[in-house]
Amino acid sequence: MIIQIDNLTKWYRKGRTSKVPAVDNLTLAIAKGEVFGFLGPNGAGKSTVIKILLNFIRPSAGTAMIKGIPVQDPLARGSIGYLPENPYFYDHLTAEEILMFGGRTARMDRNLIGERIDQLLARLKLAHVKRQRIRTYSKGMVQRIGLALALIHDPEVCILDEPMSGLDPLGRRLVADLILDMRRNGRTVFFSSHILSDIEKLCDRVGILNRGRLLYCGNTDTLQAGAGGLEKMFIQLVEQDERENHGADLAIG
Amino acid sequence: MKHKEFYTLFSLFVFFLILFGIAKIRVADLREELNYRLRVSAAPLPPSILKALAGEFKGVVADYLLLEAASFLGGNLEPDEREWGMVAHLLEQSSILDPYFKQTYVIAQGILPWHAEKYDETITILERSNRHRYWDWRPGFFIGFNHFYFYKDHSAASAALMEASLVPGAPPTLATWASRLASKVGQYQSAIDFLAGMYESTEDEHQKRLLKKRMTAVQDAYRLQQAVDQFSDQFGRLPHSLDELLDFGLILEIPDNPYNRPYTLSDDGRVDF
Amino acid sequence: MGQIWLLAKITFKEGVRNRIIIGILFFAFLLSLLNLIFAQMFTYDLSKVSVDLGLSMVSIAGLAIIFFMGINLLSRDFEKRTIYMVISRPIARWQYVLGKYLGLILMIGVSVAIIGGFAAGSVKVIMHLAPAYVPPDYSWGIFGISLLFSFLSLLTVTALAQFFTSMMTSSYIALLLTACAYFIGQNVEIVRKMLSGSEDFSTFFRIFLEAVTWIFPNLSAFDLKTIAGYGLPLDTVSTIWSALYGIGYIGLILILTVFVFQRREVG
Repeated sequence: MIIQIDNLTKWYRKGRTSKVPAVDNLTLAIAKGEVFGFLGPNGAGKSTVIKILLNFIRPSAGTAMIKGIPVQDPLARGSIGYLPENPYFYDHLTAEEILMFGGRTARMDRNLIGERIDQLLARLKLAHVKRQRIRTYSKGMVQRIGLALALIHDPEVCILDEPMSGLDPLGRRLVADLILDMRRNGRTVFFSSHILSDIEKLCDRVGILNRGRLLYCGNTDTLQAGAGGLEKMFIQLVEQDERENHGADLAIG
Repeated sequence: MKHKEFYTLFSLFVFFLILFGIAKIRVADLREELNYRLRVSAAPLPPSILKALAGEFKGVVADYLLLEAASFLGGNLEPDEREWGMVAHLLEQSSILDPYFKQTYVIAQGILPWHAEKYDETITILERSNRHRYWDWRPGFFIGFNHFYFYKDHSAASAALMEASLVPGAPPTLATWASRLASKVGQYQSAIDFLAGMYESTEDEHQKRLLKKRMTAVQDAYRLQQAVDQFSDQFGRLPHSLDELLDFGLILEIPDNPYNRPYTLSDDGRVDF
Repeated sequence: MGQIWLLAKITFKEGVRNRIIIGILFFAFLLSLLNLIFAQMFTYDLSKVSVDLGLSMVSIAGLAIIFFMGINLLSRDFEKRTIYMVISRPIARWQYVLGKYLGLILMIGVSVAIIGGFAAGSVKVIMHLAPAYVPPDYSWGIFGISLLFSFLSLLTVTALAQFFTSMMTSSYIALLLTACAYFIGQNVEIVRKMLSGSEDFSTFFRIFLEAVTWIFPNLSAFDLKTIAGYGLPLDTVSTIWSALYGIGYIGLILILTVFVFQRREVG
């Protein structure tokens, strides 16, 4: 398993004494070459899991490993490409400089990075702004640069937090194509989204998260066979969970 | 954090801690002897420019200059002539920037005339404070004292005290001292009173000793003068020397002058000390 | 070292391309022109005044860079989450701290060199105009050492700024704390000297003050402006110890920053 999460729990302090779990005893394994969609309502804990995988925050309990390396070890991040939700960069740098930084920190060869930069920027339709500072970019362009930075070192695992947000239909199409490309090349993609159609189209497997707990984890094909597809199932699962375990009535998931 | 990293970090920490500790102590020791600081702030700035530079921070700059002077004096037991000049300069600058500040003239009066013999400089600062602090009788009182004690100029002292006595809240004795200082009669008594008054209001031990010494001298001189007056009443002439008073039994002994020189009799029959 | 250097490089670039630094450098240039006029207003010791002003200008500009840019560069990483583009890479937390610090001090070092050049130029002109006031033992070497020590003082403040930003969530508070530390560092020696001469302070206060001298850096030890101005002899031993003192202090603060930052969650 390329990503292995075991009994992961993360408590957040809420007020002086009370604590709420953002992630509650989560166990999840993702195989090499899989495209995994991570689904859940806002605040379900998707981003928290991703941040633990990148060691931005530490788990309260449980472990997470990438390629068998605990995420606390910086080496684990050598094989990860990460796109944050709403990425920001150093404004005064150019796309080329940022991507060079990304490639060099992954210990790539300088010439190789140059080629890779041109190739990626062309693919993402950013070649014309290669030497422009990021501050002149539009929001969608920044998002695409974020994707380029995630992919610069051709990582084995790609972790994308809401990769489609802030993109126009053309941009979304670009990202979708890139993800499909990675699948073809045997890369693993782990991405969170609430755009269900994207997940349906791209993923081999989905995990549905609510209040830090995994409600469902399985193949998309079996889902689509059932009536109503992913959307209906998602809403049903979340509503059911809210009713049964949290005593709340949710109109919409 | 991996264990190896932690130990590396920890040993680096210990290394820097030791380096810092030793260097800190060495630097503190070495800098005890250095006093460049004073030259920095006693830069030869014309006061008007200083005032312009300070802008709205005149008060703060004045406080800072005063702090510099005070810290220098706190650390230096034996400043030389040049350094005393710098201290006087700092106090002068501070006083120009904030002529209302009491601390300035109190420090100036407490230090400059006593240790550095800078009487004119002290009186300049005091006069500035006196002009601005119209509610405060002390600067005037100090001016009078300096004229009296350091310049031995009784009429100037009397004038200053008289002026100080007009300030509301001034002790009534100021006027008495002023009038008596002006007349030749009663000079000694008023000098003793004046010194006693100053002695009471002084906290500095060194200055108290000096004042006490002067009081003893004046008291002794006063007794000798009384004997001289008695002699001239009796014999219709002035004694040739103080020893003559002993010979005629008007005094039992000539007291030791605390200033380590003998009391003498001037030609016009005044006892000098 | 590779990772640290890569981060230092982009931090440096991000810093020097900012318009604020251009503004500060321009301001320093204007000040050095002003120095020429200003020094003429003095009646004596002209060259000393110009050296004083020139070196003070370097310190002020350096502080402005730290306070207006350095702290911003550090805290923006957390506030805008630009830190993700760095620590999502195979870069350890301690590498992040050192890389960021290195980038900042490169930026400050280049600025100090440029402004120091302006300052030296204006001093040179004054000395040319008023040769009578050049101190007999004036030395450009000591001027240079004094510049280096100004830089050391700025390095200390930068390390403290980084420590406070990695501890505080608000950049505003970090800025305030850094400013406080700077003022305490400048004045702690004077205050202690002043108190050592008088007896009417409580033991508690004395201990407190002693503790302050250990916690905060004695920045006045790095102030050689007067020595440079008057061309006074520079005591080699005490200069070396002052430098070691600064290096030791910076080392400690950086390691503490690493410890704090290791524990920090970047959520």
